[in-house]
Amino acid sequence: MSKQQEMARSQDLLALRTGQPVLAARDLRKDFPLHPVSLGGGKRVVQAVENASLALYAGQVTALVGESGSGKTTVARILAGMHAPTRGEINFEGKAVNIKSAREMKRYLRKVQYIFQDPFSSLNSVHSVRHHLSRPLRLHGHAHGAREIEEQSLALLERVNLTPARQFLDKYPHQLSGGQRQRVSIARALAVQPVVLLADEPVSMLDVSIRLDILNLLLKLKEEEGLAFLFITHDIASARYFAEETQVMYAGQMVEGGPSDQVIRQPKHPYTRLLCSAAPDPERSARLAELGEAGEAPGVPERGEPPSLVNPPAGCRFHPRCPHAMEVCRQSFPARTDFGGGHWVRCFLYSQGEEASHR
Amino acid sequence: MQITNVTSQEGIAPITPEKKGTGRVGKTLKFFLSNPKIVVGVGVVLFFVLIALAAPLLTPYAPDARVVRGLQPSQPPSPAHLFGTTDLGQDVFSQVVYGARVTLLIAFVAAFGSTALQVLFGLTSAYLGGLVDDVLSLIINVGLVLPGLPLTIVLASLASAANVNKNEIVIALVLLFTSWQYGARVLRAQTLSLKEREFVAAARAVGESAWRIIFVEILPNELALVASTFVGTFVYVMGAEIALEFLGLGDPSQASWGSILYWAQNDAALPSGQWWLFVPAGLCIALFCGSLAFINFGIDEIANPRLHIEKPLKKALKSLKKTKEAVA
Amino acid sequence: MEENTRSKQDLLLDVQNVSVVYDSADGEVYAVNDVSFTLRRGEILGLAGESGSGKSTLAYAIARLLRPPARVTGGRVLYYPRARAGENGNGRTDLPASGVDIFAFDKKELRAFRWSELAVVFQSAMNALNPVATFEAQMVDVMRAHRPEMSKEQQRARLVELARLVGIAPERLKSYPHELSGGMRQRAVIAIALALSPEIIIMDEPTTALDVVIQRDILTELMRLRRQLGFAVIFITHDLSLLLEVADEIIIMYAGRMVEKAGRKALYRHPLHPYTDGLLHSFPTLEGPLVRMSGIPGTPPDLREVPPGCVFHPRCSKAWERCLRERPILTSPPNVGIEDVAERRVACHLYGTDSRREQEPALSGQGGEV
Repeated sequence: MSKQQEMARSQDLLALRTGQPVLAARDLRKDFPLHPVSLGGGKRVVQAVENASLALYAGQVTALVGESGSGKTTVARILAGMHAPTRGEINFEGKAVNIKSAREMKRYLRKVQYIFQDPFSSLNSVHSVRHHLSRPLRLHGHAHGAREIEEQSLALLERVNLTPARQFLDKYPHQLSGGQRQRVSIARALAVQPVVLLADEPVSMLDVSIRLDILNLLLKLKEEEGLAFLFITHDIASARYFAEETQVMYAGQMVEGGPSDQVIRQPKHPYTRLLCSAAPDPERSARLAELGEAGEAPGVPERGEPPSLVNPPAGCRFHPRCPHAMEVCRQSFPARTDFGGGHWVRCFLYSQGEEASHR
Repeated sequence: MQITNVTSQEGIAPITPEKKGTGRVGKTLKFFLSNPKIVVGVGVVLFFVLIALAAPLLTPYAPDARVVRGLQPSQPPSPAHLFGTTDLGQDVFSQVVYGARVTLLIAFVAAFGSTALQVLFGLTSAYLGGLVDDVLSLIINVGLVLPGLPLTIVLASLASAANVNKNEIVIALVLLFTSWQYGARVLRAQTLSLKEREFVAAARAVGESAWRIIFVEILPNELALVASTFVGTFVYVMGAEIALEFLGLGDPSQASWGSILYWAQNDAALPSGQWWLFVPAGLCIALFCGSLAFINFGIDEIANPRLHIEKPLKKALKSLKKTKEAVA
Repeated sequence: MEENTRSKQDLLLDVQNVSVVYDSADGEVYAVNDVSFTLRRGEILGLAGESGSGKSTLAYAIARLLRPPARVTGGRVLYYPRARAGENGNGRTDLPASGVDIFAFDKKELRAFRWSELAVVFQSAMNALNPVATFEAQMVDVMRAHRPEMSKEQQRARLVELARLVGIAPERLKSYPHELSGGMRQRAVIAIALALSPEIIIMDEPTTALDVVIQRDILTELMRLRRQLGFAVIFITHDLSLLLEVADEIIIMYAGRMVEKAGRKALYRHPLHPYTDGLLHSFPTLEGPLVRMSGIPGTPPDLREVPPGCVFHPRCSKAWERCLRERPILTSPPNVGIEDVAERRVACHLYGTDSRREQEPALSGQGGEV
């Protein structure tokens, strides 16, 4: 595989997708209760996620991009079974998911695994790599007996490029670097033999020079094993690199989605535009430097900060910061406008006269 | 001549060479024993344990045997009787040595039992939360609110009034049930914080059951705290036991460090200047409890690296070693 | 600030051969090894590197904030204060006009130096702010500690001025840190750092914990403040792409040593050291073609077991046998059509006085790999 290999990216997502999604969520809503500070006050909730829908397909990566507080991690955790949605439904391979017992949960987890962000705290520092890998193998019945477990553990380590595998088996987390720990986390998730991997900012806490290695590893797993990926990130450039589809979230609402290249190069939603302009881009700043402006990139001037989700703004939650906000934006959350090829946006700038309310 | 190293993957084994004995158990043991406070403390404890076990070998007399008769049964220390004799002519050394057995046995049983309860209730209530936590916390809080020693005294006196046989076990049990609450509270607090850590969520995501998470994933991370509260419990239990026996609520006919003091008190040892009746036992108690405190300090030092005080001697030795190697 | 006058009058800080050692159970570990650089007034100097590079340790050493087991084992840091009698009403005439070694300060001099000449903005603002004190109280605290002669009205006036300067509304002055958002907290920390109009501000990963939008805001603010007030910044980060946007000069550190130093544009267009080149290729781009990229193979070395010769050689695609036995020294590269060659420094045998150099052209910096 030469370094120059241009990554084939179809701009038409609809053509790429055959069959049904492996994991799909529709109109998810999640409220977290807040402990009331004052007596007699009503129960306050954090409206973390509202109207979230997405679909994961085998052998493809869907990126969920947003700032902290956008709800992207909450969506991933709902899909991983860690939170129950307040409303909305989840479908796995076409069938509705409704987990009520520990056994059903275990069965679900066998198919859907979660990779944590922090490689330093997602491994138990008192247990060796061997323990971390053998537990899922045992729990999900993929291996029985010490020898099978060891064979499969070694195979897992080789799949994530931790070689020579035998040397890593008995190491403890504190003896490994950040990148190596993250590989162990990935190996642990793979031990379960899932079909969906939910990766929550898997490389944000790693050194820059090894991030690409890990992303390339995930790409390899995607291509060779046909896994479906959800990639949560705040770095929109890595979403473009890694994911076929990108969806943008703001303050718990999904505002834009579509083929990654299109969403990032031709962003339609004002928030997506803001994100793209705010991200550091040496190429762009080098170009600007030649034009005589240094250090500042053009973009939406009024930046502001994400709202509190305890009392979120009504309608489209971006309207307080949006330079194009209209009266209707305060009243309801816009419906989807499709641009073809799978690119959609929820913004009243594009949906004239449509006033769908999804509340 | 160019050497390409590009094929080396990030995953290649780290450069740090393997040091001998990096097995987890061996390493922890070596680590603990490298701390002088722990070594001294454990040494003293072991010393007393050995004395207690070897009691028959150390003294020919039974603790309650009257070995000196005559007008002055109470004798100061002499070569024949290392710690002297009591008013009843009993050899104090034998009493101390045999008394160690009783005292230590009760203390060990109570401390271990109490720690087991602390771990069980503290960890479980924190991890499971909800109703389980509410109920157990209630039990813990009630236990904490009731004053410990008076409660223990009341229970012990009830037991002795009821003339229950095997008084030692009763004392041990009484102490056990009144001493676990504090440690449970501490372990619960620690577990509440650990349970939010990502490796716990990761264990759940992999499909581990709650019991395995509590005892295989969380507990090993708390061992320093458990060890520390164990030692603290031990000290408390020891002190409470001695106090009970001193008040005569133990078995007053059986020799133990506390009952030695009780007899000394009854014999008006202090005003009459018969120091050998209480000083040996008192010293043993002080030494033993002191060594337990030492162990606790040592654990504290290990757990909190900022308490490490760089010893100039160690540094000097190290630099000496370096120059020796350089010369060699 | 594009034309940096190279005259000696502009010199603010002259770091000479600084080394920092950590005393560990395995012996002495060199966290910073023989680092030298200069900082000019009003310049933004970026210190880039990954974990173990020593960038934070170096900055803390300059600020004399290191505690055991870390200790400075060599070098000095010469500071050239400006005679500031009458400026801002903070007459500082006790520092001589020629350079003074920060490492040689006694307690009194250090106290006078701290915060009025050099301030630090730490990585996590939430950790730097006292959670039980209001923002206003913390500012007043700083002023009271270093400028006891200021009256209450003067303090208040300065407080309001600083808050306005960083864009915090005056109503928020009495807020506690937890009541402020992440971005506001970082601004608050910057305001506290500016309280005494220092000459140098050391910023240790000031935007790492923040989102891109807030990060962009803070950086824009910083540039504006710098233009207005003229302080110099030592900006420490692992995110080289940030530095490429804001820094005047960038130093790349690896395993405690400097491996390259260049101006922002020059570094981007012509990275010399293979590590710099690798780092630049580790950032996926927003524009440009989508190609399969790779980071730098291998991991940053364990500082206890540093490889012989060039410390980067195990990960270097251009290493040859000289790199395994001889450590390259930081020198000016030969003039082969590289921008700004007089100001550049690189520690690599490719650019040494070796015949090897003739065979190797300057590496290009863009997405396509040569």
